Amino acid sequence: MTAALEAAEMGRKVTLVEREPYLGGRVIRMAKYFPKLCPPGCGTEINFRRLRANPRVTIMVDSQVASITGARGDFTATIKTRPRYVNEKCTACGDCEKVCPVERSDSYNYGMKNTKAIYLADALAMPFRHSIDMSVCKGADCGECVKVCKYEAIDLAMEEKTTTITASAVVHATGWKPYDASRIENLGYGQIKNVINNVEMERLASVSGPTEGRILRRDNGEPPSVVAMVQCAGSRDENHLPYCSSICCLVSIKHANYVREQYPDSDVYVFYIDLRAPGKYESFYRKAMEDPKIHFIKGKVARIEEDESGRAVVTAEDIIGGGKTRVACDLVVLATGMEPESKSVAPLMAKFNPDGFILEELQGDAGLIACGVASGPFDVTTSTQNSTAAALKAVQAGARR
Amino acid sequence: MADITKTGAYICSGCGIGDCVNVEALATVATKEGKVAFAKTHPMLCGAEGVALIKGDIASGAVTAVSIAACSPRVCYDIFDFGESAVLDRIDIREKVAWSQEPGHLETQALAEDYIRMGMVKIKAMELPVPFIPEEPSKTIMVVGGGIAGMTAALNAAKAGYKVELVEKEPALGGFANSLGMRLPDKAPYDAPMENDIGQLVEDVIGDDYINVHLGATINKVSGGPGIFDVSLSNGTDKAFRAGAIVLATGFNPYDVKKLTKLGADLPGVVGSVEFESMLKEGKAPPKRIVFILCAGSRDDEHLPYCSSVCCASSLKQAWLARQANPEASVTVIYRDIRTTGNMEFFYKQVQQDPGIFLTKGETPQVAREGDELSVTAENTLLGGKVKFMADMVVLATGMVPSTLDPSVKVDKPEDQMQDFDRDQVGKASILKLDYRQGPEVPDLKLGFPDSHFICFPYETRRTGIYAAGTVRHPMDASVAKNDAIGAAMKAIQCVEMVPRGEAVHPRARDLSHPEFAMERCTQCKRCTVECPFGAINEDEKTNPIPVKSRCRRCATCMGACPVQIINFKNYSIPMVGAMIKAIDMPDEDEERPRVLAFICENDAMPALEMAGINRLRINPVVRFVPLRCMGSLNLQWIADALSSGWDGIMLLGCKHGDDYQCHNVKGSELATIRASKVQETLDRLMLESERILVDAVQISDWQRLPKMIDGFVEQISEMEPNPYKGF
Amino acid sequence: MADTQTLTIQPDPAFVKSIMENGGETLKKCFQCGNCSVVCNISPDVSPFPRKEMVWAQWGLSDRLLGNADVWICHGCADCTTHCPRGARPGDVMAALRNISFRRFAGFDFMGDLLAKPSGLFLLLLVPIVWIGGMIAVASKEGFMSMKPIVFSNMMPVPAIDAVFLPAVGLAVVSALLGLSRFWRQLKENSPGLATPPGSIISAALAVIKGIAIHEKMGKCVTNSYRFSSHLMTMYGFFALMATTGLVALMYWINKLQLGSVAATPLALSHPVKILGNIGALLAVSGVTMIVARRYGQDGDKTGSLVYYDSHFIFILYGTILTGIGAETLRLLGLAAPAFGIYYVHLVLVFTLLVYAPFSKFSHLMYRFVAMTYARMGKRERPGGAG
Repeated sequence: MTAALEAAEMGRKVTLVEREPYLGGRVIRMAKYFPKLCPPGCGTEINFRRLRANPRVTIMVDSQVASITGARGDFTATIKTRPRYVNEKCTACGDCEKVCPVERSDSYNYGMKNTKAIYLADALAMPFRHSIDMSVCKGADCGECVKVCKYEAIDLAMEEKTTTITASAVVHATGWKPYDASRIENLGYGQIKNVINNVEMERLASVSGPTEGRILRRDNGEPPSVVAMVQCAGSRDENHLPYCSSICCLVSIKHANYVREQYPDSDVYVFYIDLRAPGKYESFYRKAMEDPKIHFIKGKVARIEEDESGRAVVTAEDIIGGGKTRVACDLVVLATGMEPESKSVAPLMAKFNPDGFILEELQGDAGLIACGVASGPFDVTTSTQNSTAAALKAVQAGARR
Repeated sequence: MADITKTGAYICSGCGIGDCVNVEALATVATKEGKVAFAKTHPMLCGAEGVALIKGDIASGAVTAVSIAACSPRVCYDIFDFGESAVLDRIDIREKVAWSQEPGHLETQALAEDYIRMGMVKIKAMELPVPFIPEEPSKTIMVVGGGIAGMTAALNAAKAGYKVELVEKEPALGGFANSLGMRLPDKAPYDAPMENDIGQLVEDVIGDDYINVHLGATINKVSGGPGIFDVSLSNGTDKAFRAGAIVLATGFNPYDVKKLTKLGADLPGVVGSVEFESMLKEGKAPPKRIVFILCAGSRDDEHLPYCSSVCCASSLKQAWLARQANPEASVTVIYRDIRTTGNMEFFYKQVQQDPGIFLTKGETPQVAREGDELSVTAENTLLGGKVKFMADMVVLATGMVPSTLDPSVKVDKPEDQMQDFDRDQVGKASILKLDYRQGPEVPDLKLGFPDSHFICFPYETRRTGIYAAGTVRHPMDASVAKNDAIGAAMKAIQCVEMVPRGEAVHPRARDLSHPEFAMERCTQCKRCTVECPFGAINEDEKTNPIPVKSRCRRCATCMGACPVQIINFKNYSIPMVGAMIKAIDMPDEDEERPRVLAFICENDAMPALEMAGINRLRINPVVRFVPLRCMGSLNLQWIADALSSGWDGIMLLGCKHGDDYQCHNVKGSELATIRASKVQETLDRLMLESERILVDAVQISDWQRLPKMIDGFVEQISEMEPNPYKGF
Repeated sequence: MADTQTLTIQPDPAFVKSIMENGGETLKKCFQCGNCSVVCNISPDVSPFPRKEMVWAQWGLSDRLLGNADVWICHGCADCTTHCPRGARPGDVMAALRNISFRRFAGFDFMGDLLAKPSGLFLLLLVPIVWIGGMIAVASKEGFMSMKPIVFSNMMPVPAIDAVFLPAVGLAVVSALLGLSRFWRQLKENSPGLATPPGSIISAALAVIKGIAIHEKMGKCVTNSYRFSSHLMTMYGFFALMATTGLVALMYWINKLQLGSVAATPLALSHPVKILGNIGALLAVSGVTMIVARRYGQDGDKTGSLVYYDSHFIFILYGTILTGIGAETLRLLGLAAPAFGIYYVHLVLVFTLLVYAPFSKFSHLMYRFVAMTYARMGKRERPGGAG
């Protein structure tokens, strides 16, 4: 969104292609940003506002780029738009949801909640329209939603659409996905209920999430009294992601804040290798260190086991304190790293490094630009910053001098 | 003023509105009380038929102003877009009424009717904005600072076809990078230091005929504003030019190593990392035993409280180079945390493998001289407890201080005349010499880094059209700084493109409205010039305000500040909101139907309120919401209007302020809070309950909490006597 | 570890280099996360290994490393290596430290040098080849090759064997004991907290023997789980073979000194001692074959990297067992020339295995036993182990 808006506000025409039915990516699903602990919805809303005010941006949701041909200054892209089965007449009034008989696991909430087969991803969703998950919808045999919709907004026969556009530059802003923590065998993710990952924690802390913002044990819904943050769950690890994902330390400090804010008697343990709070973020770390109930322990967690009461027992070597330490936790948050989505969503012309990042130096002067986490593991502000840079690089591809 | 006889009210009954309220009655209110030409109801205004209806009325000349009572303006914005063909206002009776109120209830109907009343007077007071376009705007970009960031910004602006004036105070380009031997890797596989190629960058800049380089130059003055920055500088000769936007890329100064006496900076053999770098660059062989102490003066409240971000990686680089220069050397590195984020991790990994480099975590390092040798002790090491290392040389890895700081600078003003922005200029290096009423340099929030809304608007300083880039903005390494500079160049380009179109820049991008000053009634109180968060208003010698409109972010804080209400926008004004406040049907004192007025920030509190509606939460029906551009635009006249028209309570729902402020206009909510506290004092003096006014911060994610909070306030108000001014 | 005193640390790049050359070449990759100490099922809670050994190794702190019982309590499961996020292979570093220890403690540096490199192999083999060859030349019966049935002692009579092996093994035992006493001293000096072992040496040793008997620790290995069975088989097979050898010698001398009359070699296949020997051979060959298959097979690297030290030991042991079986089989098949030939090779290998034991990886058996006993005395090792 940032790259699109920056180029559009300068005066260029932009087509914004998004795979999901809504804009906002991973960020809109988060409860708060570090270090200000402010809601990402605020900045996202500003961007939505900028989009609303700017007809130079064509928004294509439910869409993926199928192919790109051409060269810098003259690309042709074929874009496939999945049928949403709900057209632009939808007012998001929600009548359809009431009658829909089928539920689906909500990927927006990482499966921690269900929605109807016809659903609105979030109250802040842009575009503010429902969509249908055809993998569970009973289709025309049911048709309840069609009957109840006053606005003729539901079209169960909608088909995939192909659009061809031309462009002078291509910006890849395909973002990331959380590393699949179940691949880190000894951490019990997927086996132990009270072991969750950091994006799930964001949903738990989010008022629009499955628990309406209350951080609760995943097995019995009880409030937790001991919570552990496990750093480098996948990152800085040759067996998983060899690079540092840059953000997880700060995300975990943020999570420690969530827990401490909700439960003043709780204890939070943060297990880390190196606590990385670069630049001005140091003060965010410092503030957390002043809380006597947030315990920072240098030592990587290498074992999580479930005890008979369902708690997750975390073991690490306390390198400075000495000896192995075991903490029985009501909730364990794995600070899973960021894996670029680029390989799975942007085959196209761009070249990747072995980790899947689209690095500038690999593209040459091809007019193929990457920003945000597609180009490296960055935090939100750095992504905003290099997306703005990407917009200029894109503009240059079309500039005549 | 929109012509009310040429105004049409369009009321939608779709999305449950018709089931909740009597829309025909709303239409009657619009025509009878609002006196609009006509009011039409429709079951689906956003459908093709509904839109055609409105467009037809505009095309036929029946209306020049359109008031649509339907859903929130946050949706269907593209459908209800009539461009400049009509004044447009949207009254939200879907999220704020139909989706959040009890259908068919008396108070629900009253609420919707009040919104119609408010909407009718509002549109009457609105006009299409006439864009302000400065005379002879320039599209040239001035870049201040000829280091990596500055040169990168210049080159990239030039590549996009913009002329650049590059100002460097030293006699040569290159900046801090000139002092480096080798540099950190910025390309895969990130496994070894790279040749310092700053020379290539300098050559590219010099060879670019779109870039005009001023070496050894000092800025004498920058006046004007975005689009029309008039710059005068001298480097031997005096020069002057006009620029449209400025990139501030003046970089950093290394922290003064001499201050680190606790780390033995005064002992022979103890050097700072800058000195060590030049040793390496000059090819002097380093001694056999070297100990690096990281975070020397960083992450330290006595020195720099923040982390300087690059010292870990650059010390690893120096350790590696020292080993190259003297293969006999053993290099010990004492760190607190190794912070090689992202792909720099690969570099750490590589350097670690040098058998002559020894790394350990260690805290509270101390350096002492023991005969011919130096000793370094550290606690909490990986080697177990407190340990001591003997050394021939100790390198203190010093951090970065933004070049905007100069502790020697004082502000020559008596303390009682100091404004916040005056205090802000204390200790600020003289760089831009802005001819701004609020001081010559870009303000910071703390630590000297130019203030910006750190997460969402990384480039915006509190001076419109001036964008900070590189280490002056945040400690960062060269490769990040390069990208940062390209982004800042983009913002500068946007600015020079948008200003001549009369558009506001971020965050109210493309807004064409701007404040107009009725100077004949000005009392020279200086409130507006002092309170503008962006320093947009200068003063003449008689302290008359001189707005420099291209500096304006359109937040309307000046409008809120003005005690005589002379500052207004075409589509947003004190009379407009005042009329809305007075427009409602105020129940009588004995009806026990209190009325609460809520001013809400349209960026956060309003979407939060709407999300409560979308989630079908009940919102107290006695409250009428008036969205404001920013809480900073709240004028006390409105409070007076509200109290005198019988409102029982007033809520100001803005954003968080303080160090972690969330206000998009930096100061808006803070100023509103100060203003409200003054009213509260007055109320107390008049023996009226100051609790009638509530100031609170609402985040966009507070939609679940918001209705409860409102209920709480209404309950508190209900317990009080009704406003005694009711019915007056 | 709230040590109050300040220790002066001098990094020793030369020692770092020697660890790297002895199988721990990845050690500098460690970034001290402590993952290894936790994934290890054997490592105790209090000052666990191998994280601390890794940092000492990175700094080359030889004193701390070599007098450290933990280096031996480590059983080379390689779970640390499997899970190491940095590819630092702590398991290899621990193995390298053991390799260095064999040499350090055994003394006679030239022996260690010969065992460390393939180039030394020739010289090492030359000694038994010549010595045993010489004894055969002197002591063999005239025309032993054509005598029926095939009797190996016709070629190398028992006294001749004893003449070679008793002094040689005696020498080995002496240097082993010397090594052990050096090791014991180092343990006392450099294993802080264990310096005044409160427990009795006997009960500690018995407990350790019990643990070893069931391979309690190796049973906890995950990555190298194969080792539990293979090493167990090898160990028992080897002990059975050693017992057989001892019994055969005993039986010989009983007959010879007319202390009684027992069966003489070659023993019938049904003879209990023969059965013991054959079972031992079967166990040992199966065990070592499994080890060889895993370590030299596909993904063998995951079990721990191989250095010459390992290979030397494995193949001498394997060769000894295989030639033993080969000699017996050929003898039973009545193929005189190959049988005697192989038997000769067998004797050479047995010599190599036993006589050089204190300097080879074979000595892990005694160092590990001693270190574990010491640790058990110091209560570092609790019944059931830690982890």
